[in-house]
Amino acid sequence: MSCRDLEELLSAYADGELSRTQREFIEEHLAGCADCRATLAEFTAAGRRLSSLTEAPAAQDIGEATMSKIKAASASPEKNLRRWLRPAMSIGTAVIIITLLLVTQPWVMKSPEALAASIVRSSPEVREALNGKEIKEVEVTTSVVDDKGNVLMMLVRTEERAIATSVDLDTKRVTEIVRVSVPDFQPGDEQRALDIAKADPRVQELLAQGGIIGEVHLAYSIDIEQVTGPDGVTRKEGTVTTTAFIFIDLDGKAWSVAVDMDEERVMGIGTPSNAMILVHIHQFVSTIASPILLVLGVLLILGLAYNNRAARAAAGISSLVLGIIGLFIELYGMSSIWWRLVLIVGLPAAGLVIGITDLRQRVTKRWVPISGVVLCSLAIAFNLFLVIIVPDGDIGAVIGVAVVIVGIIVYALYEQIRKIPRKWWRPALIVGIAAIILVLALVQPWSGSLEPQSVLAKTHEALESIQTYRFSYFGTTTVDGETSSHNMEVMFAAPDRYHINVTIDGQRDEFIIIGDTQYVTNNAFGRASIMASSGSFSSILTKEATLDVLDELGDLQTLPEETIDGVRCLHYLGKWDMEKRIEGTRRNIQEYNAESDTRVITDEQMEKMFEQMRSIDITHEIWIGKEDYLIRQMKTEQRGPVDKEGIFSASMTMRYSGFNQPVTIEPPLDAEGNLLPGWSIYAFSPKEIFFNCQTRFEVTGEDPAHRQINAIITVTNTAMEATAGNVRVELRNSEVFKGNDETPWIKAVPSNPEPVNLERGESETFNASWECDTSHIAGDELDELLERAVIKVTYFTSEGDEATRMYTAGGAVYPSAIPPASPPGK
Amino acid sequence: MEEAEVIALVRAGEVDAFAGIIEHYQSPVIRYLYRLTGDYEMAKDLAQDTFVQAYKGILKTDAELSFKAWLYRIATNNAFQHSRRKKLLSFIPFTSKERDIQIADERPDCPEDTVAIREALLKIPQEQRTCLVLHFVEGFKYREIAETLGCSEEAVRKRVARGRKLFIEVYDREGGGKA
Repeated sequence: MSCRDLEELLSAYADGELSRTQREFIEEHLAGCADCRATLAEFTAAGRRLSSLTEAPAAQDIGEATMSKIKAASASPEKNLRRWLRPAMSIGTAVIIITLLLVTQPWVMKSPEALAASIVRSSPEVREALNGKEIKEVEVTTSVVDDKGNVLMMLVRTEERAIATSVDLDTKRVTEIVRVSVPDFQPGDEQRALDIAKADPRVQELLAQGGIIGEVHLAYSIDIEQVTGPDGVTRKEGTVTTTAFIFIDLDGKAWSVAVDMDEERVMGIGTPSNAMILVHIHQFVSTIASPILLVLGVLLILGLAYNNRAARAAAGISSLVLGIIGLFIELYGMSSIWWRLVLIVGLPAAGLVIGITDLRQRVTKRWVPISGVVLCSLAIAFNLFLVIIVPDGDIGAVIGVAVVIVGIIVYALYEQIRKIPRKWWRPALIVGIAAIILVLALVQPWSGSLEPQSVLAKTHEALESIQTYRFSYFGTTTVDGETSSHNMEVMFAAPDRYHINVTIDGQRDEFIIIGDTQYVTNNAFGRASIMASSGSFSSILTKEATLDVLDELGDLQTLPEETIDGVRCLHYLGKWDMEKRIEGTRRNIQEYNAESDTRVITDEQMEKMFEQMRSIDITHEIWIGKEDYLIRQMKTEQRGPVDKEGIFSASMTMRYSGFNQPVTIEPPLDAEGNLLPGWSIYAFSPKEIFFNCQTRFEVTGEDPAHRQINAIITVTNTAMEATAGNVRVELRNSEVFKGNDETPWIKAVPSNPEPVNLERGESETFNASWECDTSHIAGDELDELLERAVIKVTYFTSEGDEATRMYTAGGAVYPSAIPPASPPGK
Repeated sequence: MEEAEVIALVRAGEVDAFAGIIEHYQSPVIRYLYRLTGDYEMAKDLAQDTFVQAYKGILKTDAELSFKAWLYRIATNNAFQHSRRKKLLSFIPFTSKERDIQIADERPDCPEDTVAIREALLKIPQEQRTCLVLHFVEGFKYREIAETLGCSEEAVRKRVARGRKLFIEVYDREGGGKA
């Protein structure tokens, strides 16, 4: 045994802690070992020094403070409280995180390209432009414009055609659709691109500085521009060109050279733009953020669940990271929902974790838990504002906030709660649960959101408060197998301003409607009123009409939810309640008749009209935003009989957007108030004169070559208050006067002497007789052909201007003020 | 009054009886914690916690340990916990490191030599420091230390010996040995 091994025994010897045998052994050794004697002396001195520490500062009395703590502790069943408090908190936090993850669904966030592609795929306009053919491929063509990186150009292809579309990621709408033809990539294109690039002096310079050519990518780029054709019509034209991107690596920096393969020139050289970097960041965040959030959430729960400092530290740090991620995303303006998530979960949780740790353990100064509580309160106040005062609250966020509030109250009042006698716990718990059940039973948060009828009521309410919106309207009408299509882009600004661009069978008209005044472009169809011609009783162009649709839908069926323009939508199918509408119409007509001196619309006419209405079947499919209850899309299908045996069907799809976004609709007037060139005015004035024109034919004579035809035409002035002066009636029928190009107008003679002045509600009967050759017409066809006669009513307005209105013998308003060159109805 | 009697009274619900125990033990316990942590204010806080825990413990358990050993065991655990917390908190924002600095500033007992001894002691690993303080400052026998810390007498002997050697080393190196 060496001296070194004896050190432990020497130490114990110095302390008098050895057994007798050990002591004797050491003493024997010490006698013969100077080193060990020195060590012992050192050990003894060290012991003495340490013993000097027995002198401590005068102890202050902690007895009183300690006793008050002990009394507080012994008075309350702290153990019981603690036993449920921590699990309750962790369950609460879990509820917050899980509901928020479910509500916000960050994992369904898509990359901009995928989002744009899904917008394009679900767009009815795109589907229409592709004739309903299956979309084979949606390709991003790299034209990331706009400093936010919000507009993407997409190339959409089916087997046979391709269209270029641009998608605005902000509004999640397809903003442009243009048919294009797509050139194929040619073999050798890459080499050709390289040759073109190498001929460019800038590329030569890059290469001279030591740049190394990397990858070569071929891509399509789309250019959409306004082209005015020889016919003066402006339209959008898209061209697809092949562009090659050549990457040159120089000093660790990637330069990209864009080569226009058609014009064989270098379009530009650059380093990746900010927009591209943003897109990449966005992609990165959307792919990794969800798992990170989940992990952080789990850490938070663990931190609250376990009284373990490591877990708490992890929770605190995870809250901090949550905050940083949220701030980062917010700074880059990527999505406000992330910020809300962070505010709802991150800040209160961070405050809670820090506050709890401190209040319980007195780890830091008092200001730390206090500032934590302030942070929590701010976050909660902000969220209350967002979810309750701003009407886009979702139940998950409300639950989350409620749980956080309860948690904070419990911890803030921890000491007080602890003092509540144990016997009150059970009654308090029962009362609390009963209160929650009562509140749930009264508010019924689940029922309101599920019943289609109440959803429509909410939509009505939400839409009513909307000041501006847009919708694009796409409709087709099929009569006897012939289809015509019409498109409208409508902007609405409350209370009564509309701007409408209409395209019917390829012809374009523009309307601006302000109150009762309608401005139309000159080529608009016969100056007809857009409101009147937008389609019988199913007009949905106005906001009022849209609200009526919401009120009058019955037989509602709930269909699977769908996403429209990136918005999750509730989806319903409803039937138009025709009887309700007939009753409304009947009331309107009766009121109108009561105001007039004579019956402008007879009971017989009315019932005939209602009969027709009853035979029409109208269904509405409605998509309603799940969060804001705004109408996103409506599809209306109508089917009904037309004439005697025909069937007509119409389909209209309206897609609503741009709610409450600024819209300016001004009359097309110059500074002096004169109409701008190309515009005219169509006013719904009470002085505007309309006639009700009914025609009956009498055919006499046996010989088909010499038939005598007598037309009895009854003209009623249905104006609100104007008198029609010197009313003259003429008739012509090109059908019956077959072979006669210059069909003459036949003057009809009034039953009273001329001039015929018709006051409001007054009628006059005119007679026109002529002989004609009907030998080329089969007997039963004659009646039908006669019905196609055109009646021209010429009159003087109250201002003394001569005006003309055209009607068909069937009583309908002729669609144009100018009689057609070819007979109608063929 | 005998300690055992006081404890029996406390168990019977006489909370105030515990005040006598505090009065008796507060000075040594605070001193002990002060020597272990080097922070007098913290030692006072920890001593309060120690007595509260001891009170709850009395109600809950029929301790097989002597009361003194048991009280010191609680105090030791609190001191250990405190030092762990201090280490951990240095990683988390919002916490100050003031207390680490206070050690040098706060000198309620002033003889220069004592300061050197105190500082050398604080540089010795916790387990060994505990044994040194219990033995030399609190006058515990090795057996009592073993009981308090829940370890064997051999372990105590080892720790004291190693701690003592380390103390000599640190004390000499830091210049305390010049005297």
